[in-house]
Amino acid sequence: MSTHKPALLRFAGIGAAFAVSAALLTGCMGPAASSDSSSGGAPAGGSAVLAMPAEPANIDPIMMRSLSAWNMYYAVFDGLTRIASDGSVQPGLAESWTANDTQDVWEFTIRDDVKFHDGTDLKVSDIVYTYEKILASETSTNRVAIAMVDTVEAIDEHTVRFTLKNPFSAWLSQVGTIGIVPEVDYEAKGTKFADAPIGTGPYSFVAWNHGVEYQVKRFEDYWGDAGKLENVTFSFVSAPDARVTGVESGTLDAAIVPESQVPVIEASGNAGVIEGTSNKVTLLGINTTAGALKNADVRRAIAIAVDREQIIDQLLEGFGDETGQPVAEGVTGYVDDYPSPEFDKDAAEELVEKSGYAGEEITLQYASTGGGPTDSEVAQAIAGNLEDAGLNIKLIGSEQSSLSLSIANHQITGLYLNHWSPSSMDGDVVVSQLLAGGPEDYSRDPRLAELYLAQQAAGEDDRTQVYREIWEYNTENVYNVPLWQAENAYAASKTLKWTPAIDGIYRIAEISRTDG
Amino acid sequence: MAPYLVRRVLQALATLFIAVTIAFLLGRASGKPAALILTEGATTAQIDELNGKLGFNDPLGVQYLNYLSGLLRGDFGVSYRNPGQSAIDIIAERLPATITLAITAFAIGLVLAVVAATLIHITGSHTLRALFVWTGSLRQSVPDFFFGVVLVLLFSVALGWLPSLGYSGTPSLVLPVATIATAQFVLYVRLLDAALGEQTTADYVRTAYARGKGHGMVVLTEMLPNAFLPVLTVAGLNLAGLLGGTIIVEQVFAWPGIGTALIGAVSQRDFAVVQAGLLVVSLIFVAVNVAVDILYSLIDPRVKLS
Repeated sequence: MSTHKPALLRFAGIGAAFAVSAALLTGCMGPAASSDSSSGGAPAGGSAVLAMPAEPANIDPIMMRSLSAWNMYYAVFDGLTRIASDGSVQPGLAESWTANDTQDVWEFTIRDDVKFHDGTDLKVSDIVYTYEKILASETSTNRVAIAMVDTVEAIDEHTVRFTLKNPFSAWLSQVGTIGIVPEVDYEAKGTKFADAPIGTGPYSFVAWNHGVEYQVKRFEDYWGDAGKLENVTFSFVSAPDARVTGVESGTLDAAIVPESQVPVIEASGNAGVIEGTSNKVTLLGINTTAGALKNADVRRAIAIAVDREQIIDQLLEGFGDETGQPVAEGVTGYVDDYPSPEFDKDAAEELVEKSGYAGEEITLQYASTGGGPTDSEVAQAIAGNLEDAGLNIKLIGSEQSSLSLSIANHQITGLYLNHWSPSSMDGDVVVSQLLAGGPEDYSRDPRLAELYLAQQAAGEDDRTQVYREIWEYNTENVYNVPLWQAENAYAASKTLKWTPAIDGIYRIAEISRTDG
Repeated sequence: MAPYLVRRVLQALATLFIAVTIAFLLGRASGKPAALILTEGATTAQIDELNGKLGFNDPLGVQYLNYLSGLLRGDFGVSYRNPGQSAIDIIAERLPATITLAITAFAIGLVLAVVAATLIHITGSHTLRALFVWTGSLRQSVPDFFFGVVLVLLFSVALGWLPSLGYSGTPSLVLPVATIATAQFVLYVRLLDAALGEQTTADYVRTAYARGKGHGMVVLTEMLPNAFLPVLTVAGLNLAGLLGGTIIVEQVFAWPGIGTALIGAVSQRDFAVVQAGLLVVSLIFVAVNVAVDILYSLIDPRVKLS
């Protein structure tokens, strides 16, 4: 629980909250101070209530691949590898692995001390079963993620071999996102498995109270580092304001909050603000076949017309770093020191004039609801910047899922504001979707298709070089405009010891309390 | 009475049919959902394949007939995001939380309004009337959303007395109930006050006084039942609205009701759940309307159900 200050002092926060509710953006606030997250000898025990913005409709690791469900998957299940909170790939159920030179045959050596929550031993056949079950399912949304698997087989009691249809250098990250289920139990429960799931993870399932919360408790026979907290509750709170007041009142212990609320939380004094690096990049996507956007000079103008610095400072409370590449630091494919385009209004105007642009309307689609909390303001600011450079922009707001459908169905009419955060922490999917034949690739540039294939087959050492070439090619031709790498703002109880993961997904085994 | 009920049931069925049809068509008009279900990295072919598996590539007429024939068999479809749960189960699971919130807030608001309006007229106090009407106008000028947030800031954040969100026993009920009940109270107190005011000059009231009835008894036994009639219609519609999920209030307090479920289902394009939800909401409206009509006929002898 939060420390209690005299009531009068805490009213200060209410005034600040009203100011924010009235959308009086104060601007120029410096980045918030991180709360102390050095790991001391925290006592093991206690409990925590962690907020999630969305409740997954289904929490079955075979059937449903979803960002929100991973919070539970990483608690209750293990993958062959583990994507750590810094984005690196660590051993999971597999203690080691090897790949052939062409990266299309992978062998994993499985630990022999792993128990499921029901006390049964993990067998290699459970791993084979999990993958085959996904591949055989007609409606599993995980099937897309492992569609490149040709065969999966148990070589002996400790080894599982995957033969892929094509080289896939990101395979190690991908297996980290697939939670292994016990064959016998899953077969018995079928579609009801999600109501009482059994895994090998550091926490075991207690209850799923639909619409309210998902409860887990520490699994004492865990093969790895045991969780520090005894009980953890994931609480589903979709309204951002409710998450803020929830942490301030002690009802919640941690929640992701809109950047604009950071000054309010700090003023209230009831909770700390934690800054978390993020794997999310905000970008302007472009239909490069639409009207004036066919012209590369118009696109180059757009890249330098957006005043990233001002938007980050004034709308995002400083929570963002300018970038020129569509993947964030920590994601495989991120190139160190890759430059961000310099804001230059005059040069942008010149490019627009040079292009022969005659004032045709260019649409800018964005999520007015259901997207990022500041998407509307950011879209308006970008439109203003582009108008300053001489372009005629028409803003089109819609609900996030409508925008997502337009993007996925290749139906964008001009520009669009969107965010990319690859949950596998690998740039492969970002390149394929944005630049190499995916639904957000309007240019269908054969050179990028080549580079993409080269990236897939490249060994670990050569990948960075290929990525650099891809980003340079994109910067030159402006098929999309990376804007900034987001930083997440979290409100957290002052007694919570926690470092947010780069992908925004809770790793609850690493969370502890100072008052446990 | 019997022919009346038969007619109302037929009307209800027609209403429900229209509601599910509109829900079906609007849902389908918003696009095929597979692209939203599959996370990053899905190819166009994979998206199309899943749409096909879920039946969204069939001609609209075929989908509609499949849906209707399912309804007739009592099959409301399955949430395609969670095949382990039928759509109607998801809605049924959320109904209790909504009913608890709606009925509690409605009852408290209505009872307090009756007490307040009666007090105004028994005491004949202008100060009392001014007080209720003035604070009522103040409450009415604040949207539910904002009022809820203010309550949370005051009672949860500043004073730490009550939980700010969720559904975990009686304490968590207080703030959302207060948000809705105050709005309901304002509405009924004004209606009742006006209706009671109209009654004061009525013949039957004069007669009652002439028979030697005390003022308080006249207000309670003679005027109030008659003044209640105009309130009944409004209250019925309001209650139906509240039972259909108070979306704004549920969002503010992360209340696991039907409103939250529907919002989630709409944004995830989980059509079966949206359709089942709208069906239930329509059913509630129809049922409450019939109940109000019957009550009306019981209270007012001039009304005949025919």
